[in-house]
Amino acid sequence: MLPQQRLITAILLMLLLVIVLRLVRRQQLGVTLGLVWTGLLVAALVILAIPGLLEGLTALTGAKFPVSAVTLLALVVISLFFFYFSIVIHKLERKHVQLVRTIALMEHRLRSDSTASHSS
Amino acid sequence: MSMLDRGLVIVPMYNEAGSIERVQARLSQRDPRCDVVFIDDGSRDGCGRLLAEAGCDVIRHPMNLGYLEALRSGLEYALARGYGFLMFFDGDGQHRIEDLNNLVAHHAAHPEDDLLIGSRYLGGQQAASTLRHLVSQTYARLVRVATGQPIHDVTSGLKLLNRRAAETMQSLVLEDGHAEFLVFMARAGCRIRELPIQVEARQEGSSMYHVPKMILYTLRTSFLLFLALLTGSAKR
Repeated sequence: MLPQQRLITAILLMLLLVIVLRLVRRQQLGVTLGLVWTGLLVAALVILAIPGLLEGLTALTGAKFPVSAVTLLALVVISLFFFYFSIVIHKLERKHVQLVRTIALMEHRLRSDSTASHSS
Repeated sequence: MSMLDRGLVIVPMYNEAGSIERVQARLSQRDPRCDVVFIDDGSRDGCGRLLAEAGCDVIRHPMNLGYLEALRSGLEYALARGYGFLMFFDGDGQHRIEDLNNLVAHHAAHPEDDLLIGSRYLGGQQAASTLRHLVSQTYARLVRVATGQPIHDVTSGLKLLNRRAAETMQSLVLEDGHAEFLVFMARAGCRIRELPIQVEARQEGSSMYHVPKMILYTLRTSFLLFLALLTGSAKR
């Protein structure tokens, strides 16, 4: 990677980091996901800052080219995110169903109480 | 009579305005030990409102949650009110009141049976379509192998559960309360018995099982059955 490319990438990553931190502070992004994104961005910055680290990672993953190693790592991260969000969506679905049921049962109870008070 | 001697008929409904009068008329001839609650699962044809106006006991889901969740709402209501047993009776007018009353009579005589299933196959009938018959028979074989019990109609909507079975059902992960439900119940030690019934042809509306849903149902039920065979249970 050329020094200019490294510099532009580092600026973009730091910009993203600032956006993430601001979103967490404004409560537009949760602390857990904010932490995960911060970790990923810092890791990318470290890889960018230390020459030879990406080549080391390439050798570690058994990839032939650094670009393949980055793609592999990105796929792993995306898969983990997908898995995490599958669980989150299911939990939300269960909470939603329980909430709808609670509303239905409460509305039924209110109607029954109101009918009973009218008839007495 | 204490609440434990009383039963609750749970009638799930989704867009069944065309059949509610017939269902209501049938249920008026039910066993006197039973109360009825209709679960309107977010219908858009106003059937829940019609039932409420007719003075029926209706629990209305603000949106559609699906057949199983409608049953679960009835289940939660029945257990909270302290009913001793409960029944599922389809809201599309396919079930006969004499069959429901037979289940209640059998429960009174044999309270040791935890789950009673109304079986159209024991009554000499077949499923409405060849595809449904094929799927139903395949699952019936699987359920017989998994439970070791002679169960024939695994997709019947007419069931009676005693309190123990109802509490067990509440704790299970289910697809739609049919084949996988029977396996989980048997594995939880529930006694299951089938009684013959006659199912009438649907006159209004359409079945909740169309081809894409049938494929999804088959995959999801198979996955749950696999889970049941692998782990022995599927508690929530």
